[in-house]
Amino acid sequence: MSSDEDHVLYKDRSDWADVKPLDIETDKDSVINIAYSETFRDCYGYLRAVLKSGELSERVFELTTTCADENPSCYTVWLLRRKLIAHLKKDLREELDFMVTQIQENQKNYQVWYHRQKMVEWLGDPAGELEFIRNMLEWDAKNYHAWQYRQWILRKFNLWDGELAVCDEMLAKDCRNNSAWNQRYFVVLNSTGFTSEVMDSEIEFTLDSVREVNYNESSWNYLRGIFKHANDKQKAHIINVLEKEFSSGRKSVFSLSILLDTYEATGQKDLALKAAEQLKEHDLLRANYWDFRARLLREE
Amino acid sequence: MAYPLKDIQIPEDANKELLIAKHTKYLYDFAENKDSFEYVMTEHLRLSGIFWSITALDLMGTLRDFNKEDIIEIVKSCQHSNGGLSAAPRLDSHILYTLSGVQILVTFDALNAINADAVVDYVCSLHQKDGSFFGDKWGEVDTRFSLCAVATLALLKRLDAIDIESTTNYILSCMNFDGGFGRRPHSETHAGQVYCCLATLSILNQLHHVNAEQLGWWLCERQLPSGGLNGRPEKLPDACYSWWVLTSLAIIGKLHWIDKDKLSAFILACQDSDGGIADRPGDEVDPYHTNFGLAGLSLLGENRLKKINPVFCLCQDVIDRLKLKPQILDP
Ligand SMILES: [Zn+2]
Repeated sequence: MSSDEDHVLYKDRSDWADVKPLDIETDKDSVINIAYSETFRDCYGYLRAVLKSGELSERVFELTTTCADENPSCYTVWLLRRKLIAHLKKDLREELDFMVTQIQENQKNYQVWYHRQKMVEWLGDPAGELEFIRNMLEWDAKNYHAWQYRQWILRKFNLWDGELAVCDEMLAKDCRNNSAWNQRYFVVLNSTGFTSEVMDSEIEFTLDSVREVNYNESSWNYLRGIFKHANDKQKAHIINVLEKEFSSGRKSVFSLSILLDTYEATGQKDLALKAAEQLKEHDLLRANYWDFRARLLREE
Repeated sequence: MAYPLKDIQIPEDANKELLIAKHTKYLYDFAENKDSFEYVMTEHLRLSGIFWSITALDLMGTLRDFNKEDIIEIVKSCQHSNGGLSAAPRLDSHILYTLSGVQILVTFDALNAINADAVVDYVCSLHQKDGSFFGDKWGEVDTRFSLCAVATLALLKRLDAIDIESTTNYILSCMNFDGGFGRRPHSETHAGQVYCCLATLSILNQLHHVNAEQLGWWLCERQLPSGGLNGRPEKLPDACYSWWVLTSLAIIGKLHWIDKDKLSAFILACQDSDGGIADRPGDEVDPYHTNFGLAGLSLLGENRLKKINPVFCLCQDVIDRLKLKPQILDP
């Protein structure tokens, strides 16, 4: 929101005197009692007018800045702005600078992220982008748009080097960050692939993580996800570690459910059934699910 | 087995009864009060806002003739020469609002108000070679847009206009290692996107590609001790995510895998005593959460509400009138 006290309404600007603003489809002479809504109503009135006339000019570009400040969720503002940037051949670096505050103030709005992506695409140069995203992730480490944009940059410009280390760092800070686990899978898959050596280190990394924080859905899900890439030796190792964890009293629904899956995947039906029965007792919210698993095992 | 979790506590004095009269008044007031800050600030999603309000009212059986003629006029004025619809007159056409517009019109049985052939052309123009859909001509791709495209065509009975195989394959390429779906290939699994992908596959009759067991587990893991559901691990429960998760479970026939009574109590607690439903108990209400909260209660079997169709998020009688039968997996 522009709380700028120097802001002059468009209706009071001489260079806009030739345009008649268009009102939203409401009663004409009503008054809104919210302080900054006059700025909002004023700039969007002129926006509707230029959308109708199709004017593409510097003053319209300036108008979209005000409109974006007032309501960045209005997707048409960003479309019009891109049209103007292309038409007026605006400096794309300057636009990226403008987008820094826009994104900082509207992190959950996908329009602003997409607009930035388009600018970088047009520029064909990702310099500084990974750092920028990294900074945004300091604010909200699970921002879906930020991660998605990061994946786009990595793939588009082939920037895999060092990305696994970034995942390490993010997970060291918060091992419950599901977005970072997802990124980890994405990075391994697209860089080295889940080779036998890579699996050795991924299994150790994940087991260390679950040993440190047992009740963590995300790390268990990752372990479940990479299990299918494991060879027999690695599978046996995973089961071994989990059983040890379990017998030492570090139980959680997650570790037990992984054990159930691994027993099932390696054909140890009786142990799997025992795990399912235990889960049914402990995880009351999902008792029907565990009952279903137990029934399947009995029917096999 | 005890564990710390991100969750909320439902207040002792939270609502336990469904407040139909209050919600009806709230939605009527919201629509009448065209000068309110909320109304003016939401012009950019007007058609979706109207869709949430009328679906909520329809569910409660209180839609009656709620501004019907005016609304049809607005939808009409949102159609552009390219066939697509925008959120409000003069804004740009977008697949999101194209679906909202069509959903509104089928609810009022007034599809002839717009040029349906042009809508079909618009949707087809957004279809890409890899089977994905752009949201508009600017090229953003999202599995949400796949659902919007496919649902729009299904409601218009024009599914024949697109290639089903590539559309299906694109959705499947967004399946993750945890069995869920994201916005694009390899994007993190997210309950809202899971719904979009399942609903798309359901409409295309392609649900056999889904690992219902693994995905069902991920979905029922979303339920927290408060009874509410979250959209991703380690996130707070939310009435709207309760719907996305619940309807996904319904589509794959696993609704019984969660504790329905606890979820019901959570949604009822999100009601404001003056009407409307919020994301969590005590928060600000809006038409969006009001609609999805009610839709969730309907799916949970609340008999004071009409039945909702899990795939289209429209009242079942509307879907029956159109003779549509989206695929639902057997329990
Ligand atoms: Zn919500």
